Amino acid sequence: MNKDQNEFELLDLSYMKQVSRGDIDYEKKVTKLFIEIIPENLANLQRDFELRAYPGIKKTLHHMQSSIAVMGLDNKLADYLDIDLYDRVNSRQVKENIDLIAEICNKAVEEAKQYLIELNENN
Amino acid sequence: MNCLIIDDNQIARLTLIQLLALDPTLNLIGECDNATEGYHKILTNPIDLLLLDIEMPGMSGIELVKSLGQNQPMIIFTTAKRDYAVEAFDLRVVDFIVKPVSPARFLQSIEKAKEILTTKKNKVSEVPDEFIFIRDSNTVRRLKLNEILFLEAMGDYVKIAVHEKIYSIHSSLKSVEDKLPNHIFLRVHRSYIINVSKIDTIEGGTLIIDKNLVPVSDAFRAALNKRVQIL
Repeated sequence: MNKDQNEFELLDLSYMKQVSRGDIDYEKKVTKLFIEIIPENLANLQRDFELRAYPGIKKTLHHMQSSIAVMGLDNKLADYLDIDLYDRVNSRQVKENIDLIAEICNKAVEEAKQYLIELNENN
Repeated sequence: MNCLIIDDNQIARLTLIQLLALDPTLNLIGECDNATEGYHKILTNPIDLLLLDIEMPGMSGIELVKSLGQNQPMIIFTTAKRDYAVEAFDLRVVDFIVKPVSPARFLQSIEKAKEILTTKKNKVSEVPDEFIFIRDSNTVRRLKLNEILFLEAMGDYVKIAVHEKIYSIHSSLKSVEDKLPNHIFLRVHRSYIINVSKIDTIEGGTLIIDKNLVPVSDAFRAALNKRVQIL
């Protein structure tokens, strides 16, 4: 049986399911892309932080927003993805935010992997 | 309605494709992950509606719209950021929707675009004689668009061919193209724009229009084939 979307601690798949209307191929593609792209985005954030390349950090955060929203993480990450915030905070706060985003996203990627296994097993 | 998606995020593009499938009258012509590729697709395909992201690497969605001039199809901006709303609406776009886009909100925008398209089509049929003004020596001359056969770039000039007469104007083909409606004209070569309704025959890489030979380059052949809808 498919794990119910509410059983995930972080992912909220209600938007994805609203769009998919039962199209499992779409759900698989999106979930797979999320699993592939998010770790790359997180690596870019860490790299740009080390280089103090703040425009790069803002670009990556902006790029992540669409992926995050489709997987229902937007509310959980809203405070840390507010791009304008990064013009107002110091480097320690930027680092703290990036670490929090990474912690939430890494956990969400693990949940997405679990969801993809279930999609593959049941379809 | 022919649609093109331009968004640098692949998940966003997949989601928009899924939303487009909600309405069977929508025909996806293509998807691009950057505005530069999108710009070329718009010029070489009959696009009615553009689903366009704003913040992208390289050219932004707003810059793309500004560069399109008269060739601008209807546009729905789809973005994760609300900040651009005012600037976007100044560009006379159909709608501005914030991601994630709900199916209901998406269909609402599509209905708006359909209404605009219907009004546009009605206006075109109400105005049988669209025209442009050109400077011909010391005279400003009115030319009916439906009398123009083709336009040819010749150095710093553009030749405008009408039946048994040619006018030359001091301009670039690109700037003339921006002022011509793309429902009548189509670029078929780096140096040629044609009036699609004036084509007599197409043979290989050449068109014949009123006994004139017009070359078609490989880069524009697909767009021409699409446009003429060969039975």
